[in-house]
Amino acid sequence: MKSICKTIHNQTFTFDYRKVVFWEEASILILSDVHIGKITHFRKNGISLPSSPSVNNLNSLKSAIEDYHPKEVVFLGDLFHSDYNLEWEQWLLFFKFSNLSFKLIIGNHDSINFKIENLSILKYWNKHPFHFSHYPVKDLEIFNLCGHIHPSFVLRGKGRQKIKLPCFYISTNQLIFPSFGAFTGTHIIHLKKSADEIILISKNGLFPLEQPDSF
Amino acid sequence: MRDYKNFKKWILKWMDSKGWKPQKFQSDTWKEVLKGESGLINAPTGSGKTLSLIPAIVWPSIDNNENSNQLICLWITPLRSLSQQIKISIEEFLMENNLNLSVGVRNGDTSIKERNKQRNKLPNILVTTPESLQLIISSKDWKKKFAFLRTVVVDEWHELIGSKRGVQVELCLAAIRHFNSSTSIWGISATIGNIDQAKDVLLGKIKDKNNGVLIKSNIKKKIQVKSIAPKEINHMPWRGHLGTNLTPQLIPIIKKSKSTLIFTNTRSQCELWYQNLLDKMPELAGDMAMHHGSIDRNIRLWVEDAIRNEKIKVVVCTSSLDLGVDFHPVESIVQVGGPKGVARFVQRAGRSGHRPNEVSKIYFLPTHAIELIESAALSKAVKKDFVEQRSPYLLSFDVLIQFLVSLAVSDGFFAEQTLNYIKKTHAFSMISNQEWEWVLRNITVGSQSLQAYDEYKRVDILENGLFKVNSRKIAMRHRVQIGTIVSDALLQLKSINGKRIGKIEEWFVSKLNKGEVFLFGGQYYKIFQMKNMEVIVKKSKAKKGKIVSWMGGRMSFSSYMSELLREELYELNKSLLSDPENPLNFLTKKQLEFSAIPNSGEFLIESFQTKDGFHTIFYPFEGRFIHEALSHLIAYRISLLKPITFSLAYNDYGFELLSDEFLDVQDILDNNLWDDSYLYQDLKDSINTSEMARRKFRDIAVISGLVFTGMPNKRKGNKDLQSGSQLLFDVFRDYEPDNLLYKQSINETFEYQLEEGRLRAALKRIQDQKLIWKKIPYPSPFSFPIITDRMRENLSSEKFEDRIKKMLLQYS
Repeated sequence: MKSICKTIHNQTFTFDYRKVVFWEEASILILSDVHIGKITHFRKNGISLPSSPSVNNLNSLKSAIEDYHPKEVVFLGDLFHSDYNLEWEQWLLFFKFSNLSFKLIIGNHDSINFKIENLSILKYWNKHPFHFSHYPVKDLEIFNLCGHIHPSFVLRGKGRQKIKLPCFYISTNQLIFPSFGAFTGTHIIHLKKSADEIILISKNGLFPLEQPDSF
Repeated sequence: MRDYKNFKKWILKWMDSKGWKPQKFQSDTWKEVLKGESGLINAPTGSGKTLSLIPAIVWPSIDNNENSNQLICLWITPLRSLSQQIKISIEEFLMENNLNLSVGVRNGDTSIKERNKQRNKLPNILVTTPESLQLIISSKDWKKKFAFLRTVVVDEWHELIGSKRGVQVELCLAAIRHFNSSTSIWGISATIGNIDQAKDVLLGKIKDKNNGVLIKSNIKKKIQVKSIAPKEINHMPWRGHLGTNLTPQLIPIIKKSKSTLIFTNTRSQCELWYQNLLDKMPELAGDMAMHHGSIDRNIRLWVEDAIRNEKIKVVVCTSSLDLGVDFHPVESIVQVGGPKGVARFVQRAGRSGHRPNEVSKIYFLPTHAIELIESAALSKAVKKDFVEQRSPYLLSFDVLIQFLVSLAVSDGFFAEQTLNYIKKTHAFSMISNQEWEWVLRNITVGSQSLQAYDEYKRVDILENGLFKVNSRKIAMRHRVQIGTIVSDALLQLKSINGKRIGKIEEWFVSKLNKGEVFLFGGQYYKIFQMKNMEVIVKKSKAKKGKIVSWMGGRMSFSSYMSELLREELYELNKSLLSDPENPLNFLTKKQLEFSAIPNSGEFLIESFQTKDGFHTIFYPFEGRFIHEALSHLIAYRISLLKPITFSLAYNDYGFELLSDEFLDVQDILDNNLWDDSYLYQDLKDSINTSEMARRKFRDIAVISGLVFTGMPNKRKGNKDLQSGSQLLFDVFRDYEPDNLLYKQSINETFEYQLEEGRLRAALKRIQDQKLIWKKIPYPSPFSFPIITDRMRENLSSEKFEDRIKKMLLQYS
């Protein structure tokens, strides 16, 4: 499966294996934790990583935009990893010349001290019936879309096998996004309630985790 | 030689006054040192090695009535805890001879005040570690500081040679010699299988020739091994590594000894045994201490002093007390669990009966039934005069990168000149020009072709060709990272009143919650607060809690140890018939109940099913590391025949392939599974993605500076530069597979961990053996320790997405 459709609060969401979600009614493409500039930040500090993964990030987003034709793209924080460096340039150019509009819910990593053309920056964003934030918000009345955690899940099978995969985590009142950027790492989470849903992501597709029957 | 006559008159007079006579190796060494020769002394701990060097090293200062302010001798020890002891013994000698020379210590424990003092003026004799030596080389004007250096002594060289610290020492010595050709180098080593090579590696090449002298002391220790066996062998557990059930047998030994050292294999085992003894022998409170590498320095020093002064009776310790410490003879030595190698066992035994000609006694306490076989093998091993080899590392680019950046941080370096002396070391004598160019590119432009938005910054090349670090930030970060021992991020453990208790690994802390209780250094603590790099704890009266544990590497049998073990095993069948009293008969019978015990012409494979899946166990008896390689190789070769996924486990006796479907061994055996051709290629394909290479890469990434482990106490400010080596490994594999550091991780897996030569020999041996395949209803005694091992790896030839689908089905 390359994508999965779900209805949340009567709205249609398409989950995509490129770690983005398309909200159809509002025509918004949502993603989180891109960490632009991370590799260059490391290299600037004398850590010799290969610089190619950073190019893939933008290409992957462009291909998702081509498939869904959104009007707007919303980043759920940590779009940038640290201070400005040259790796930002290709993204800044992309924002500037795109005819879509871009929103960033600011995250703990984003340290932006200048205006970016065609990218509006918000602390959080309420668009009915959802609350967009970087950090997961607890005990909220309305449904929360967020990032920050970089969730992954360890799948265990017979013969003591296990595979770790990034995932979307959906609970009754919250959707946590996987980190979009290559070279960002993940945090292992566990299923908290049996009613919660997990959609696992491999390089080529999505795998919803079927729940064991609850009693 | 007139010089030697005067010297001898002087030293003999002093020795006479103490009632001592020089041993032959001592006077041989004095002669060579006075000639300005370099060399290696092969002498066991406690045989007077300090005295074989120091008098001759300081002699020129006396003879010329020189009162120099310069550093004349560097004494390098592998362990910080040794420095103090060596300083004291040198100072004693100097004082008794009224010599006005200063001795200082410089290592990770040295206070900032002392370090600042040393920055202005070094003592005449400096006792230091390889890491601190490299730190001195990374400070400004280091060449001037070493201008009057007469001798560098590398103590316990056998401990360094088989590690990357050895490479670090090789590089530092090459640099020192290049800038001060009159410096001589002396090593001290216990007996290892390749002692001649050890000398050549230490001294490097001068004018393309090996040089220096090898001086062997003729001191031999007699060792007696006693096994602590349970009264009834069927009381022994089949697996496990604790052995505390044998405590009742140990108590009388402790009671009748004036002093006892109990060696354990891991730090958590050490903690557990300490607690266990305290429970069973409460009267020991106050007379017992614990010693391991994570306990705070002050406490460790106190313990070492207390043993020396006979203030305590019992010390439970790990390899942290393996080396040197010249305290008075301990009466009894106990080894808990298999020591994995004969050399280590002999060295530990040597802790008792320190005087020449005295018999050293060591008790061996097996932790599970099969270790009883080991104990029989060990007793035989110490009777023969054979010890293992320690192979030196070659082409460790990570260490080279760290060394070059150190030079660039201090006064800078020129490429050609540096290459010339680096090539004189054993480790880099074979470095190619392309590799050298790659290393230079790596530190200056970040290894690959330049990209438009690249801002890589580490080492700059100045107009005159000097390689230099100009950024203070990079210099500072480099200095805190120097070293080749890699551990997980360490957190400082402190009590509420600020007293330092020790260090604890981050991964262990991450498993604890506030208020939770754990055991450390023999005391229960409750977590009060965690902030930055510190864990604040309160003492707790709890009687239970988690036992602190450390990742650390697991050790493997040496090839010699494996051979002994196999011999012992082949005897089991015979002794069942011939020796009804043999305590191992119980084990033999149990194993024979459903399965078999192979003889020298046979190779055993067992298959059985449990709720975990289908187990296939192979028994080469070749040691853990070889089994790790073999399990990958065999799993890989089977996976070529059909899509299948294995979970692998291994120990010193054999390895397991666990699968979710039955594996018909007869079917697969006809496919040249044990063929030793294409070995390199098959192994490479199988370990490319494996944990083994990843583990090696972790060390390489830290040493070469790819992973930044953080500034002490300033962790927060650097979080944006931290990344896991796992993540890095994936990035290199996917985007830059020809990176030398990435390739090094794979090469190291082959050469040091897998020991290709040994692996080939094992395969050849197995090819000639008759295979016995036993399908059994229950796990056999041999299989038990393997199948219960939780540290596992996967190897699969199924399509990744297919595996996910299958596991999702099993999940629900």
